[in-house]
Amino acid sequence: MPDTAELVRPSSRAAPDHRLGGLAALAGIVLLAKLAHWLAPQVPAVVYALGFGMLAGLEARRLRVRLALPHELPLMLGFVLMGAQVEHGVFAVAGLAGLALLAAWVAATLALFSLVWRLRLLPRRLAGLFALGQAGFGVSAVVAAGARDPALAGTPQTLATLLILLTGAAGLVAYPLLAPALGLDEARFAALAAVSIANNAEAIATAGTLGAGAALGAAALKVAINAFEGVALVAFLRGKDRPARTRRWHDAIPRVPGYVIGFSLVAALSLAGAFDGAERASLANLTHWAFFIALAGVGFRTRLDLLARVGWRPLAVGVAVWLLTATGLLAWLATH
Amino acid sequence: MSQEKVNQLKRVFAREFAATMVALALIALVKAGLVGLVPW
Repeated sequence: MPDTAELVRPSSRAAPDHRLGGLAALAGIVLLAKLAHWLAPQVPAVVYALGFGMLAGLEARRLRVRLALPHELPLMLGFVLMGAQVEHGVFAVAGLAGLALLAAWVAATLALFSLVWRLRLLPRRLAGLFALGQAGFGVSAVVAAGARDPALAGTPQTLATLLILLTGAAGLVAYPLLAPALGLDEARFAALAAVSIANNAEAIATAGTLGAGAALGAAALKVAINAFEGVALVAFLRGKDRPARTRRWHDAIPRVPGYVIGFSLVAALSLAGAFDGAERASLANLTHWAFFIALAGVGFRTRLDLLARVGWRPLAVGVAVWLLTATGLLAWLATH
Repeated sequence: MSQEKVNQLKRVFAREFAATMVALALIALVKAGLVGLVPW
């Protein structure tokens, strides 16, 4: 059986160079991915970014060209800009029941991935990364975690992203078929989509198949959980190196990623009413672009050879955990 | 935590701080109406 622990071992290779070439390569991948999404919009844009990035990375390694794709800046920009989407009205729209379901989903996902790690079905850091994404924080959290923890950059990020995309696609196809059979109303359907589908776009699109009201409810729940993304990321990264005692207080500050502080600052501004609808829409599009570009970089750093060696087992484990929690949520919503 | 590790964290943090400043500048441009709706 292949050793999945290999996935979360940091790469020992020297830092890559060719910065200008890296910038050009990143721009090329991003433009091609955007063009592909424009031609065939049925496939989510991030799939193109990830896929084209992986192919370019494979080719660069084959040609022994060392490129540094500057994808960390867009990632951090995206994370900070995302704060502008937090608004206090959403907590009222999401409702107490919806927020309670979100909390239950996060707890169940964390517990199950912890169990999976204890049963040695996945290495600890990969189980943690899967949990971070699938708890509802999505691709943005998975990409942001890799910026702080080199052991998670590239292949583990790709696996976690693929899991989010796979389960999101499954929900998008299955939920609209299941909802009428189970007699779910708009509010329950919105909760089902927003709670169990990690990525915002897929969750809101799924809820939207039942009506505009469901889409709005799902969007509110997604904003509510995204408001906690900074907290989740800090909690996740703290698990990495336990000795938290530092000698001086100013040594403790850099332990919280700078982009999380930026996100909190912008979220506070947003809650104080700094942005109107048009500005929020403009910042949302900039956020889309930023994560889209960052994902091309994640694809580029993915070691396809490692991915091929470990096979589909980690993904299958992740999908099984999702099926279990999603079925539980569906059963609760259909009976309450 | 070793001093070397703390210094490394500080360097990473400085980069993240710079990125945050760029994001805030971008937000200021949107607020000032200099950046309209970027198509996605």
